[in-house]
Amino acid sequence: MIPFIVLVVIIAVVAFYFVGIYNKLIALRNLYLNAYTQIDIQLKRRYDLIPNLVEATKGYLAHERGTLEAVIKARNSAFDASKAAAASPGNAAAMSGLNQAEGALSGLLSKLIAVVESYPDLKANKTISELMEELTSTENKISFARQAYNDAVTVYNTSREQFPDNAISSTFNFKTAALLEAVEKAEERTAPKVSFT
Amino acid sequence: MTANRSTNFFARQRDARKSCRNQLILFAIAVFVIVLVTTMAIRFAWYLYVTTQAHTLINYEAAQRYQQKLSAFAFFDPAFFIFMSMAIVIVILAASLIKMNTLQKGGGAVAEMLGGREISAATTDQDERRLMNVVEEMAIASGIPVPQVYVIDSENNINAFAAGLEIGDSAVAVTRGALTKLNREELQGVIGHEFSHLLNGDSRLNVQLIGILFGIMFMGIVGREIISKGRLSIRLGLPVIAGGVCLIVIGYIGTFMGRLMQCAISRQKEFLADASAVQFTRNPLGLAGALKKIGGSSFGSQINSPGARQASHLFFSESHPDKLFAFLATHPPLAQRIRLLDPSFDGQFPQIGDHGPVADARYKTPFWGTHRWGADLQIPPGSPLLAILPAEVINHVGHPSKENIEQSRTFLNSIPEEISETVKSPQGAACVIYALLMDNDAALLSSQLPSLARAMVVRGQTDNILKIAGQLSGLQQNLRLPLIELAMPALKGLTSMEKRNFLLILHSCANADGHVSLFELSVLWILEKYLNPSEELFRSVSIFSVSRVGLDIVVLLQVLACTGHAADKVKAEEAFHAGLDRIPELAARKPVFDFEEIVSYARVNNALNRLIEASFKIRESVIDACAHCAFTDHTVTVEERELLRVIALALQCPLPPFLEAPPEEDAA
Repeated sequence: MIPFIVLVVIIAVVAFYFVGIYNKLIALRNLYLNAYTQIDIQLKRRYDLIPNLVEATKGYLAHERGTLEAVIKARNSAFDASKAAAASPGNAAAMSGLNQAEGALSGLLSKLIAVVESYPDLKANKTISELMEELTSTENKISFARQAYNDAVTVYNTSREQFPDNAISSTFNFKTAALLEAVEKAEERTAPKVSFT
Repeated sequence: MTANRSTNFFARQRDARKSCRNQLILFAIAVFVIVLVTTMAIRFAWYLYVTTQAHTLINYEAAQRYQQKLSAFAFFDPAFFIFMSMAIVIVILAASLIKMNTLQKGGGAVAEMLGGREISAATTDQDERRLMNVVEEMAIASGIPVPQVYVIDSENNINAFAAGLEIGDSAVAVTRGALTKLNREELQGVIGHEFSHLLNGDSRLNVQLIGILFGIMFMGIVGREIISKGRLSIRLGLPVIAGGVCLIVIGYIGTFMGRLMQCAISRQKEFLADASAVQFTRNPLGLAGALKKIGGSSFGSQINSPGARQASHLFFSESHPDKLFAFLATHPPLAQRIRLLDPSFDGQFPQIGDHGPVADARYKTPFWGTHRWGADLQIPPGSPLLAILPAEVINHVGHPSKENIEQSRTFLNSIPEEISETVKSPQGAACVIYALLMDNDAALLSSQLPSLARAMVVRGQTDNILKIAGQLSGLQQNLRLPLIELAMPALKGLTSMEKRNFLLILHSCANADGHVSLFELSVLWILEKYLNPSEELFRSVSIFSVSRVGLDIVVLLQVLACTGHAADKVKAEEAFHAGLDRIPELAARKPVFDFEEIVSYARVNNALNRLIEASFKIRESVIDACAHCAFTDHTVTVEERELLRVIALALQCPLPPFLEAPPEEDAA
């Protein structure tokens, strides 16, 4: 009789231990999913701001039409990518899609900002300077939210790969979550060319 | 990393609680020292009293009585000591608890205590919008909820603080100077630093420390109150005043112990907060830049509000620098903080202006009404007084010459008859003065109209005022001040309540466009002094050191120099230094001169409001410095003279005689 009770107790303890691990994994997964919604909110805000900025600068930048159109195009494709990513945060394909679209958009946007800053008239315009401030702030918020998301994902991934958590994660299909890498700007990747002419 | 950060978070909160316990030990020691010194002092005073009575009383029997008391006197009487210490401890604890209770309301209460104004999340002011955005960014970066945000409008130096007992109910405040002088990245660094105080639980500790300090310093505060009241009425008697002096001395012991506590707790935490700020922003140069700007401006991070002393450990950087007691500084030296962030720092602070960029769009409106006062008649601003102008009429009221009388006749003739009739009734006079302040620009005018609706005397007369404004729009600018002088006697007929309301509405009309012109400034001060002469009696002088109003004096000189030399930067700087050299204490600080083509007089208004509280000696030297500033080039322009007049009027000081009459060589 006594060995039987001991066995039951041991099984119960082990079972509770694994339930605890399962719950911890769920909590960590929710943490990174929640962190993603933070990014998503800021991305949406940026997608709203960009058409406004383009609209406001259009009058001054008639000769920069190509840049403006490219920005809008990149914004639209990034918007689609963000919708796909929000549907399944952590999915590697969706995350890399968003990464690429965001990379293209950021590159074009920094070009547009450089153009705007080179026109004193534009900089002095109140609406435009307000939009620029909002855009800068949103960019910062996105990068801070991305840090938080990446932190949460790293903790989750580490936990699901460690023993004995990996037994639970493989049984109950806790998938690896993908990081959202910081987008490098195109000009940072290529070394600057120096010419002496 | 989150796990890492969050365990860090709990570990830091635990550490904070531990140092809270240390704080209580320090508090106990402080109370013990105060009790010991106080009881000993009182005992000793009593002993002295009895001894002198025993030896000096002529009445033999009375002296005998004191002799007996003296022989029975035991210095260490346990009953006396126990009773006194109980009383003192109870007073200190009660004061501390009451203060802490008021601070229980959260960070917002502390920010308001220090003169903060809450910013709404939907603010449209550009600087405030930027601050709000930076705070939201840092909230995301540090993972805590967005706190309430406050601005301290009256402080022009760079500083900031965070306060709050719980994370969810904290506040972050920055000074106006930080808002205008720091760029975005620097502001982000400062706010990051404050967020780390919130995250580390320092702000909780700091708020509790305010309560504890208040208890320790309470006796000193009471003593100072007694003395300042005693100065008003001697009737209170000598013993009360002597008691007050005793309390102040005890208070100094408390202050010393308190400052020891402030610096013991605060310094190490500042390094930690700097490090965390870099962790949040991933940009050490932003914070380093902010610290360099503090080091580079002549008044650094000094906070002028006297109530802020008790909270000096809360601030971003040293709020009450003290050369004498440098070892009691609440913050580590700036250079040391910067070098940890930016190892390439060579110890040379970049010199920055004391007023920051005037990049604000609000200040770009030309201050001299260009389109309104009849462009063909207008004298270009900055032109020297080559001939006697109609504006001189006011300056020579005391000794009118034939020409003056002639001029006043032409002046009176140039005013439409309808208006010179209107200003004879109080209501009409008020209407005319409002009309003079109405803006020509439709958008700005619409921002002034709501204030007019609150005006008592001219209720329902808005259309009439606008009509008068239309009639006056052809008037030469130099006739505006004389017209006000003409309207002044009738204003005396207003009741005191109407007067107050009138001045209030004038202020809001002048400030409606966020910009104060020289004309608006003069109107406000002239009318304020004219209608409120008795106010001076109740105004107490509370500033006795030039350094407390140093920035205000610099503002005055700078604006004066820029007003006199609107087109010539070199000459303006010369004039500025000529004035500055009259106050050696200030010149030694080497404030930087910022040339501005378009001057904002709102700053002058603030500076004057503070200078009023300075002692007469300071005010006199300010006038002297201003006069020298205006007179370096031996020409005084219309604007300079008008500004000088306002300054002299506001500070209740006579103008030096050489400015009363226009200099001969210029008149020729």
